[in-house]
Amino acid sequence: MNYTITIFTDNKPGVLYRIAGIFLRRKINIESLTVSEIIEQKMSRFTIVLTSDEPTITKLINQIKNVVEVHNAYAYTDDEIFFHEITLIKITTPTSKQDTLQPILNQHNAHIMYFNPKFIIIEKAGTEVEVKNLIEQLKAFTIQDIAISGRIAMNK
Amino acid sequence: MRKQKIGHDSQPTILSGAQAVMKALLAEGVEVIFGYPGGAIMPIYDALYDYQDVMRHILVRHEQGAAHAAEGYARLTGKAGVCFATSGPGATNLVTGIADAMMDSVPMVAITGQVAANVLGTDAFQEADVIGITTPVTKWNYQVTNPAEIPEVIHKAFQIAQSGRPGPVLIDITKNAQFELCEYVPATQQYSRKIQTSTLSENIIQEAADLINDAKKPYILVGHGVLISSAEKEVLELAEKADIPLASTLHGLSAIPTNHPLYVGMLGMHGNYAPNKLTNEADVIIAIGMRFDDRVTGRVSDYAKNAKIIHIDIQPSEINKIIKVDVELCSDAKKALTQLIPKVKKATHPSWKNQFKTLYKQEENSIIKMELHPTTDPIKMAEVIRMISEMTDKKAVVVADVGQHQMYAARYSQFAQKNSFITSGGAGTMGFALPAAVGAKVAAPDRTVVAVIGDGCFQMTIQELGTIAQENLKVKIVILNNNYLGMVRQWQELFFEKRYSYVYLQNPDFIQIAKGFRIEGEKVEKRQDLRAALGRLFAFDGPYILDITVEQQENIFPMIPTGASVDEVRLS
Repeated sequence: MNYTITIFTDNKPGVLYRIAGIFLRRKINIESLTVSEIIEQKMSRFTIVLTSDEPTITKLINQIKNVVEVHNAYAYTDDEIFFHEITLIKITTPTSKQDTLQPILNQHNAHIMYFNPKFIIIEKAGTEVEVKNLIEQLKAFTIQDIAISGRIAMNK
Repeated sequence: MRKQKIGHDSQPTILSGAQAVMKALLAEGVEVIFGYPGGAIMPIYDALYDYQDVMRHILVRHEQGAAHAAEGYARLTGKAGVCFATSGPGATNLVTGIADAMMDSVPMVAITGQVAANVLGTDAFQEADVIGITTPVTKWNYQVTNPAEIPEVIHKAFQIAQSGRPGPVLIDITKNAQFELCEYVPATQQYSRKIQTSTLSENIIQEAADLINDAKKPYILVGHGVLISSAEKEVLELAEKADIPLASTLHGLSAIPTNHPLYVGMLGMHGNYAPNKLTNEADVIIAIGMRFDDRVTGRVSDYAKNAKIIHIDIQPSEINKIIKVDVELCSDAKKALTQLIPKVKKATHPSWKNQFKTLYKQEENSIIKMELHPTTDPIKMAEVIRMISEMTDKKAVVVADVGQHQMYAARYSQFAQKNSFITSGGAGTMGFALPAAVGAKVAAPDRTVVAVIGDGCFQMTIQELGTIAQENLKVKIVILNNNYLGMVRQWQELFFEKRYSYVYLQNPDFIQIAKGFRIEGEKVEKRQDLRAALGRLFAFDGPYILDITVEQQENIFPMIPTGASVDEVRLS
């Protein structure tokens, strides 16, 4: 099952290393990881996505809580949170069928972040599934590069 | 600077980082440091020079010895053992001891020197990424590059090492931070947010009490946490009130006097027969300050299958880690028991206790009698161990190394006093005993400290004889010498078709070596000489060593083979 772990920690060097170490010891693969500062609290927020089972997740959360710099840690299933990732897609600026692009972007709630005669960068925020659907449709164009951020999430 | 008066006041003072380290250690009540100097920690050793009157420094012969000695010290005092090492190899040599302390919940503060901050990450002379190396084996570690941080960081180190489930903390201090001056501001912050202090809810306590009150076959497992929390009295009170048999883990040994009528012996791979076998008959298990180590549980899927389990442990991550429990009492053992005892009703369980007695008789007849009273040569390990207990009124601190002799020491030692058995359990670190005995003797100079060591283990940290001689520590050293790596040999015999692969040891003359270190000793080869030799060991006013030739190819039983269930424990 897909789980999203949110961890609140002191914003200090080495915390990421200690948390990553816990995953390493248990040979659990991290599917995505986002670390960001919590403004004005000198804290960091980790959002980690992984596939696992409930007993493993419970043990993992308990071990994460052992880390001195960790204030708290929570695990959620997808239906317990709102979550998004941000994707940037670079496509070659089309010479034909230009007018088909904008309707696709509209349909997927994506927009053009930058364009020049050579390439266009499209930005899309959404769930992993929404991003995937957009990419499928954009295969009609020449995709040069795709950068997908880790998931960020908030509990319901 | 060196002649400056050492201040104990709370007024800010200008000090070097190294002086701040010493002052902060003094503020934490540190009396003993085990260590080894070197380039990157020289300013701290220079500051230490001024503290010789208030702080004792034991110069070990290898940094691993410093870490194990700090463990031995901590195990007897309950306070964090402190060790010093220099950067690079000095620090990496500490790692085994730090990992050992992590596994066995031993409070330790290790302070290592580090190259100057401006050359960090440049492969400077004797540089190693000590923070990176020790992160998985410490409760916390931290690199200090600014001396102003020192008082807070050292205070935090002690708080973390000694609170909750104790463990090791490493502070890596760059050389510039030792030299540079800072304003010494005494630490004030509390770092106890991780410590479980709240009392348990009445409901959960009642739930546990109800299980115990309804139990027909209740069973208490005593772990290291009982000793750490000083909950021996409460454990006995609970056991006596509800008439519950008590078994001990390796690290719980000596929490309960061996001769207590409810004490049934040791759990685990080479524990006693009844305590293992009857784990699977118990209907309620009260596990106190123990973590269901694989050596205790055997095959987890079949462990305690008839029992409801009440688990008292201070570390939340230990609960439900290996065994799914029914009542979680996440708390200090003493506190939880104090709440629990009034709700537990008086009871008697004579037939349940008899089951233990019956199985003990089986073990006694098929194993113990022959181990303790052999009729043929050579000397057996068990008889030596039992004789040590008898000749020290069961009050010695037995420091056992790792292997067959460790299991014999655990099985056949008798205890009348708490904190009388120290060994490397979780990590199983060969070479632990000699340096740990150093720390134990420094911590408890008035107690008899006996290091029980195998011939293989002895050669892993034999250099600490130098430390013992220099400090004139009256450590009593007993080598149980079978010329083999006995436990590995036993496994090769039982599970690898007697293919004895590199387990025979051609040993040096240990007594000659001891004499080279100016330590007295003698070799014992015959049973009729054993008692008198042990008499001389204990009577001698100084360190003394016995090299006892024991049966070469002895196997230790009972045994739960790897992967077997506790009720498949073998008597032969």
